[in-house]
Amino acid sequence: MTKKSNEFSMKEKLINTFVSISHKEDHGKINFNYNKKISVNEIWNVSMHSEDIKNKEILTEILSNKNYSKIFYNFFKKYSDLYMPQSMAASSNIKNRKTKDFEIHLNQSNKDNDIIYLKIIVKKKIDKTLKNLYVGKDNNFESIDLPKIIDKQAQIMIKKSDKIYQMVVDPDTEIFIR
Amino acid sequence: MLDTNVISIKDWKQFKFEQVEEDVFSQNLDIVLNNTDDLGNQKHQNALVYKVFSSFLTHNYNYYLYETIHFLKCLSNLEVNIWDIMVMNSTRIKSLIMKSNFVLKDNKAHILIGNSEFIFSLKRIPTFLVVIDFWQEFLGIDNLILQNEEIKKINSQHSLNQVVNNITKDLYSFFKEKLPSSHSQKYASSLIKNLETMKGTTFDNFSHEDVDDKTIIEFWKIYSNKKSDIQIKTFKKIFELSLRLKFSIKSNSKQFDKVLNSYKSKKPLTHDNFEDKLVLLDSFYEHSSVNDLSEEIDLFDKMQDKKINLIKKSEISLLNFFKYHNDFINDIHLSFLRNIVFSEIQNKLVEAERRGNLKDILKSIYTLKNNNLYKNKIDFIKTIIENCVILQKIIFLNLWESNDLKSIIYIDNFLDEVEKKEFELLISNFKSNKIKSLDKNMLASIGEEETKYLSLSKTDEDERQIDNDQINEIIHALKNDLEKKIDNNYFKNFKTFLKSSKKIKFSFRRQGLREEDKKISNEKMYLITDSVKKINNFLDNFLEKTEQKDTKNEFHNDFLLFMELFKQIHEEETI
Repeated sequence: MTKKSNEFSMKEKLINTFVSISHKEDHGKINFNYNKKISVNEIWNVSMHSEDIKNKEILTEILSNKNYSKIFYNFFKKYSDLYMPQSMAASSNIKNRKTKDFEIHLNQSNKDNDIIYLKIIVKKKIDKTLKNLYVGKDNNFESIDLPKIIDKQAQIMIKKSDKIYQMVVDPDTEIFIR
Repeated sequence: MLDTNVISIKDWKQFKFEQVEEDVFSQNLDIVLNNTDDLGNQKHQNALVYKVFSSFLTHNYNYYLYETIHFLKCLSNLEVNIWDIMVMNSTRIKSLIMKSNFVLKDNKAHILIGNSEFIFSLKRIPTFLVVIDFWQEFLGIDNLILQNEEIKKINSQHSLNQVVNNITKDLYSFFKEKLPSSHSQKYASSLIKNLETMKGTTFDNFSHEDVDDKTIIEFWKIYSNKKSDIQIKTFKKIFELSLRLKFSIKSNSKQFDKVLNSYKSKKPLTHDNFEDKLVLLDSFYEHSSVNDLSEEIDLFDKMQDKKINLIKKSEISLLNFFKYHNDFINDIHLSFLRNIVFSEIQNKLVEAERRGNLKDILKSIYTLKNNNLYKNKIDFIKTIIENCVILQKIIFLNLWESNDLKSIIYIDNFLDEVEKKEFELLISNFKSNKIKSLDKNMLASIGEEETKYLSLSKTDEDERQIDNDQINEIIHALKNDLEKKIDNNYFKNFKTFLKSSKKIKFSFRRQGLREEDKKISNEKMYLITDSVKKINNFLDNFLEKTEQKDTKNEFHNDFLLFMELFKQIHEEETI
């Protein structure tokens, strides 16, 4: 546009028309709405604040996508204090799991067959307070609050019917403590 | 602010598409500007984000991407994934690279890919991080993950270039849907320049008639040449661009400008006369697009998605050639025909190139030299017209038989001349005998379409709330009178037509019309009828123009010319 007259020259007008009509005819059906996409930053945020209830919906969305969940577990592992990978055990149902960071022992109550004591033994020196235990596999992701760890040990009472129990005994799950 | 540039296409209501740059990309920009690293700090410098952002909008991102892929390959060799990089700040990434054996002197890193060495400055890392964030914003995380795997596999300069090309293609596809393409500007400038050379005059003196059949062929010769600054490989594209050029010249002609400027000279430009100007521009556009068939073709195209094939795919595919700018059909009728015939041939060549049997296809096409493919297409158009006529008949019969009162408005299409006069007489008697006796409110309640049809005049006073029951009552009475006349053999041909209903329907069993198909609403049926009628009128007009030409001679000469140009484009010497 010429600065003097603030009007388009004839040639510019012609080109403007040409470009506009091209745009209209070529892309008339395009929907210009911005589609919010999940970003790496968002996955990272969710993995860092997984205990936050506000993130539940987005967590479900992330875990239901193979690519997103891969990144999620990658971050989760990296930013956890203690990590237990999938078990090498051949059994489809295991009662004890061990790694260099920590051990998990599952003991049935003598009084009630449905009650299980989940005992955690921490082997690594950790300076901060550990708050949660997370168990994950594909789009299943469960967590439980940890009691105070005394003398590197903590025990939680759970039920056999609890999802977290079923996941801890599944050798294909990964376990994280933060 | 009111723009005094009355001719600007942006003023046109039809062109009020989204303000692309601001509306679509500002959210992408904001997200990248506000991204934080894993320590919660702002990830990028604003100035750098704007710089990279503008490179994307102007399609100048190629080198950025090329460098970034080298950088990512370097980190991939250190077993760092792209998503890890995306939450780190540049200092941490730099320290990762510094610990590796990729570092050279002077803050530079180098990576060997095959036999090629690529050196980049570590100072460029912040730029690469911005590029990656925009890449994610535009193409999504899935694309990033997919390419992350490809980057891991890079083992030669060729495979690296392949990754860059694939991302560029994806980015281009993303942008081309949203940016008024810079390509369009380039085409327009080049077409104007070439037209000036051809006509020996400047664009100020152009008339849209200067873009004629001969000019379009000249454009085709120029742009199909490999030495041309812009190469356009299909005649279809050349034709489309020529139509747009014609339209642009016409809408910016001095004569048109003069009319528009009269608005400015009469009174100062206010909001009100600005609105007047828009109305004038709109009416111009409507006039120009009155022959366009885009809405009608889209209607039948969408029906195909629902498996309704009232107009077949092959027929729609031909009609698509008449989607826009049909008001130019008188000027460049031959080019329309050339486009239909030779674009189809060229599609076959492109497909053959892909399949690797170009030589065979070229040979088989060359045997068509002595056929008259123009005539074949004209025959096909005649078939479409016939099918459209049958379609109109079936729709009318369905509506008539289901006692849809509005069907009477379409009866004209199925009456012979004598019957038409008889029907006019019937209406006239109906008006004088029955309408007069009707309550005045009832007259007011007749819809616009019916009023026009019955040639009734309504005063402003009559414009009241429309009562559908009352409209139905009037039309019902008229239809009763008509049916009595039909029974008394006043409309013999029409009666025969009604009686042949089964036979007609049986002869045209397309999906959407059969008894077992989901019923199409009556409202939609009327829309279909109107659309079919418009298509048919246009095709009739097109055929009329064709009849005036000696297509056989035209075809033979065109065939030789087009095959010669196809030979240049598709690099085959067997013709």
